[in-house]
Amino acid sequence: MIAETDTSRRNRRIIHRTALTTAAFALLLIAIGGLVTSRDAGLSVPDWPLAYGQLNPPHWWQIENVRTEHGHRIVAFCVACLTAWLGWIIYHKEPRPWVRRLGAAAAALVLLQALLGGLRVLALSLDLAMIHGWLGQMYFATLAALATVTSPLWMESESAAGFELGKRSAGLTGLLSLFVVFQLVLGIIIRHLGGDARPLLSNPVFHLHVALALSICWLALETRSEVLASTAPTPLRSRANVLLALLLLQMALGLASLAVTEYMVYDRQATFLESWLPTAHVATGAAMLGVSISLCLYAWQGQKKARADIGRTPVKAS
Amino acid sequence: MRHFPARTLAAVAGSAIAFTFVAGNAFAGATIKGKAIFDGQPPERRTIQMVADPACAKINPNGRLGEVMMINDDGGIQNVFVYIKDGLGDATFEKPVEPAVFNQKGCMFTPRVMGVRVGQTLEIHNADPTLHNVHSLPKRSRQFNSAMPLQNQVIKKRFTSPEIMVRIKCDVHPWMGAYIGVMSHPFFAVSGADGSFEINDVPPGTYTVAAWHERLGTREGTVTVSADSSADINFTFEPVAGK
Repeated sequence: MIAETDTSRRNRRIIHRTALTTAAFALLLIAIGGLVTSRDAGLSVPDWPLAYGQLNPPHWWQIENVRTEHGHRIVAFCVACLTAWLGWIIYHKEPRPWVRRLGAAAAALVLLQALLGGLRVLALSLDLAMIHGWLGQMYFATLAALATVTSPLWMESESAAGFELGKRSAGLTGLLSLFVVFQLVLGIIIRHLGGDARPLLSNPVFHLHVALALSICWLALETRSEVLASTAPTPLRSRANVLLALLLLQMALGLASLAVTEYMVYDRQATFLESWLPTAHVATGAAMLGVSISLCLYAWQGQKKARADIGRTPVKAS
Repeated sequence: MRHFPARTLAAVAGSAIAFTFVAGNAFAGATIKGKAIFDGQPPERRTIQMVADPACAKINPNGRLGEVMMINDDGGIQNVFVYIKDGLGDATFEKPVEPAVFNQKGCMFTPRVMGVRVGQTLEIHNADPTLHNVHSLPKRSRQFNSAMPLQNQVIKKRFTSPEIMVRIKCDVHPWMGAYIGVMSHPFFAVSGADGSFEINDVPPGTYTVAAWHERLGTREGTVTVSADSSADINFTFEPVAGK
């Protein structure tokens, strides 16, 4: 194996820190996007890319819904710039071609996401709003993957020694990530339909949401047990614990959101709890996806390494 | 040029005859009147707080009573849209030239319930010193969502297909809502503060009349009117659970 030079180590550190920062801002953007849906503020600025024909609409900071939607656009612009910067440094400084492709995918996704957001406003389309919500999560998942595969821990896992997260972990984390993605789709449908989806207790989509939540619980618990029982290093064991903590928080936020919004009145400004509880539920869902994807990547990497090691083990003569 | 006065006279006389005929027909029309009544304990009107926009809060420092359920002490329901649903056959009616006016005043839509004709100009005003957006949610016409950032701004819109009812909302101020009935004929009315309504100039015939309320639903009844007469029809609405 070729030893890493100081320059390549420094480049890797820059890429990783930029990926982490971009992912953190993307999570913030998802939270603000969630707030836009909670407050039904998505169409409070009817034009795009301008806002009321200007860069900043009059008194935008003082009016709650305009502040929410316009603030979402401003943060989105900053995140898009960060992603473009991330894509640029990955393209120029990252030696692994598949990571360069992942960086390009993140840059393409943020551009597509911005266009979708604009089209949703101009076409007054609820379907596009839902796709916009889902694509935002996929974009965040891509950034979480980039932050994972550019980390020093990942380099360690790629080294000759490597480490394993348990035999079943690849399947468990793969399924967990898939279920979380599907769960996010259901959540997006429920949230965007607002009053039309209620009462949720008699809505089949909500029943599926609950069933999937229980499946995710089981998968997360199994994943944690598997990782803790393996020889995985401390940061990954902590990640498995974080996954469980996020799951518990997510369940609590889901129940609280249901209690607060089930009979909410829609012809008034949403209250603090009506706005923030479902928003926190969305952001925690995104964080769960990020952690699941990260664990999944390590699990697959470990499995790949284990297979390669088996291939290299000399067969003993009987 | 010599013949001009005679031609003018003939034209004026012709117009006069035509006017008499049309007007005569109008005056021969019947009236359908009645009342929308709430059968139950009138719910208390909720106060809307407008702190989400300082300009609205300044206009309404103590908030403002909601307009969804406006029921007086006698049970009369305001803002019930009453219209002839059936019985006019294939008759067509001329589209009014005058625009229908819809306003945003005191951070509320005014009126909350109204009717317009298909293709009639809907003149939308912003009387408020704050920005609004007017977002229509029709199912049969094209949606619009227009920015109205300036005080005294006026925009014009049209609906292309009849529809009961088109919801209008302001996404800047979620408490602002209104409903517009888009009609292919002129026989509709909105109940007043005492729940009464009156539809005038109705051609003689037997009609199904419907009354729509945004929370209480729709009621229907049949009424027969002859020329120059008046017929009464009342609509009773029961309380709806949770509303």
